[in-house]
Amino acid sequence: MMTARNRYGILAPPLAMFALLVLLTLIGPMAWPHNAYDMDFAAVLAPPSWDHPMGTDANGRDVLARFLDGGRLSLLVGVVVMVGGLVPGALLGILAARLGGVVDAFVMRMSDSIAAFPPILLAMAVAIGLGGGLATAVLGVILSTLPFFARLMRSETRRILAMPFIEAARAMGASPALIVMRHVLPHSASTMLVQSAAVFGYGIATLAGLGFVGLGAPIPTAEWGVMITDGMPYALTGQWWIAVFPGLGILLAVSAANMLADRLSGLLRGDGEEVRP
Amino acid sequence: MTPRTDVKLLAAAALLAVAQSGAAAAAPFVVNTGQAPATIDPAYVCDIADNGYVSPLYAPLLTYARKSVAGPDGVTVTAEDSGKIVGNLAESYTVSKDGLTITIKLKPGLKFASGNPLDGPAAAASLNRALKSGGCGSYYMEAAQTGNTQSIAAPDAGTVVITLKKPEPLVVDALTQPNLGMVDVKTVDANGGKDWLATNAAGSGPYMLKSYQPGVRAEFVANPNWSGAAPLETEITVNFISDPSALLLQARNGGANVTLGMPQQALQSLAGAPDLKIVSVPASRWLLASLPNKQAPFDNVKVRQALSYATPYEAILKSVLFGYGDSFYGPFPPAFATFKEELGAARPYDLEKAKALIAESGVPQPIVLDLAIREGLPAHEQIATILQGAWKQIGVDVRITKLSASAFAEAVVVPQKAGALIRFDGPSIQDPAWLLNYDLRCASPYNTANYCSADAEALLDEALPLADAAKRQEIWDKIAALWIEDAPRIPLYADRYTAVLSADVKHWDFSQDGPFELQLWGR
Repeated sequence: MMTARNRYGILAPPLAMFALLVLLTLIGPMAWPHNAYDMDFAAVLAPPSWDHPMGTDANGRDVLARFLDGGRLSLLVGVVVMVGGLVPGALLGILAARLGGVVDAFVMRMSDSIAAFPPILLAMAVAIGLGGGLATAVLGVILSTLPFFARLMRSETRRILAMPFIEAARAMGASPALIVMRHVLPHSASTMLVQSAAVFGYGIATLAGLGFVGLGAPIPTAEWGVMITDGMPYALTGQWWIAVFPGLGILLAVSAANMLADRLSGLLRGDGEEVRP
Repeated sequence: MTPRTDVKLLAAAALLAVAQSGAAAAAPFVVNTGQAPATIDPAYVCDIADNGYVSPLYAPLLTYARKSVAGPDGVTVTAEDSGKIVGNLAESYTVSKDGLTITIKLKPGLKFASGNPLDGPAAAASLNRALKSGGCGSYYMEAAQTGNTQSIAAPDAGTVVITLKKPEPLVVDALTQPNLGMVDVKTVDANGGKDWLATNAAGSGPYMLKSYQPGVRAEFVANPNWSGAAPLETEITVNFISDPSALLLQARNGGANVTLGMPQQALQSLAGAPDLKIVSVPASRWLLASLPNKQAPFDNVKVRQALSYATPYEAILKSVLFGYGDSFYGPFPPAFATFKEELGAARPYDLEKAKALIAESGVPQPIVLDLAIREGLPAHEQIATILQGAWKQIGVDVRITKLSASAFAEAVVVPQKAGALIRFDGPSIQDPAWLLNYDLRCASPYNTANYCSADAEALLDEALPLADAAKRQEIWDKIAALWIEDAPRIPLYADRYTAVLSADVKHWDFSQDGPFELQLWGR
């Protein structure tokens, strides 16, 4: 039989990747001597070297310094999108499930409306409509995640509210708010955690996509998506390092988030547990 | 394998080789370019690059003579000689002594591509169409002097007479422009007018439009009714490819005979490629950062001067242009005949002087400047980033905004400029009067800096009626000196127009009014 240590051990690789990225982006900019915004026109498009391990870009800026600075922003955006989608989305899901009727129909139709648009297009529409910039881009990405959380939470809440122990709690005089706090939230937490991990990766990737089409962070902010956009024209002329390193950063962060989500999901479903006769 | 089989195989291979060589000779000449035109109606085309797509289809009455220009080995490169106007569809032209009447005699037997006769009445109808269009055609027909045309008439089948209310020598220059190329008005009217002409052609030039997909492709075939020298290529395909990487890949893979609009950094990567040649011609086009001269604190000349000294011109040339450009400072670029080194030399990057000028200005810091760039132009974005970093050192906080093409076009012509703009400037007609009429006049919507100098405008008014080139030059020098002192804009670099040619291209030509004198390009 698989022990609890073994079971949770499968979370170690994605968590280690996260820890590495977080440490790099938090401590790195303080430790690394180059600044993300200083231009050195004597070192334009320099290939990776000991002085510039990730090379320099077209303005002579150190790509590693921008990678570290941009990574901090990208990871922060992932967290903001995750929390910004989770809290209102879950609240709407609980309200829809608990109140039913018109409220349920309204929340679900709103979710359908939002989900009808491809997420990247919706985020682009919001970012363009509200004037561009990092804040509006993040807002657009958050909006596109609301249906993920609202639908899931509604479904979880309805499932939990139908359980016998909820009937018992009601019989003991528990208020609806108390039932939500004491029973619905704890029992749905694991499912929402899995969804949150997936949304974290989605947030980073979508913001990078918006940055790629010029709707992300403003110039000259370092952000992985914007860095890829800046580096693309140089990929075919031999200066691969400008786009490849931020691309690797996104790959690592999104892979770690998706791996964590998958493995958490597997654990919660009981995958790998020995079935007793 | 028998000897007879060998012979058959050899014969088949020879036939195939002959067929392939024939197909190669007949293959269309391919031009890949980064910019697609918004319209191909000559009366409404305004962008200098868009003019180029109109030029092969609509022949003007007059044209500039050509001159030889240095080019790569094995390629004959020519360019327009802006000082010499000659007949094109016109046999001759005369200007009356009072400068009010321009009489143009047409060559006999001219026809439009449709086969309709291109005679005096048809030519007058075409010029009147441009005049009444309300688009750039009107601007060109009147050489910026709105309402100055008394009449355009055809007193007989071979003559067109333009009568002006007051003399304007630049009308003759304007008659060389694609915007005033001869349009078959009968065909246009029969097909529904200007909406039809935006994507179709009713022309008179060396080529006809075989097919056109806006934003995708245009196919040109030689016009059998063209009376001038036969074009070097009978069929030309122009592909509009906005992605610079795709342009580069196509050029590398031999997918185009001519590639236009490639970023300088990509050009640099092709230097030395055995199958490609790069042709680079100095052009009267320049990238500038216009400053909002009427907005505080940029109405303070010291602030504008400080920005001009804090601009790292050499860094821009090195890291953005890779040498395909030149620095200068003043209203006229080096390619202008009226340019003088002592008045237009590059401004040195002098941070200490810039800081001192900011201190002298008395303007509190930080100074905020909104700088707009057109989206989709990585080089402009890179330059904006460089300016942002450089100007920060003198306490100017630059906020960069990327605008869509349409929003940027609006920002260019809005009467009160709210911020700075990075954009190309360059007159179709390389004459200081043509340039200054839109760039210097306080009321001009194309005065992108809202620069108003009563002294400079008075000098311009003084120069316009002068025929003596030396006296005009004296005035241009005075205007240049005033402009340099006022620093209304920052010329970032003078462009060198570049094209990538495949090894089999032997002829290439450059025109200021758009690079597409396609009939002069060929293998």
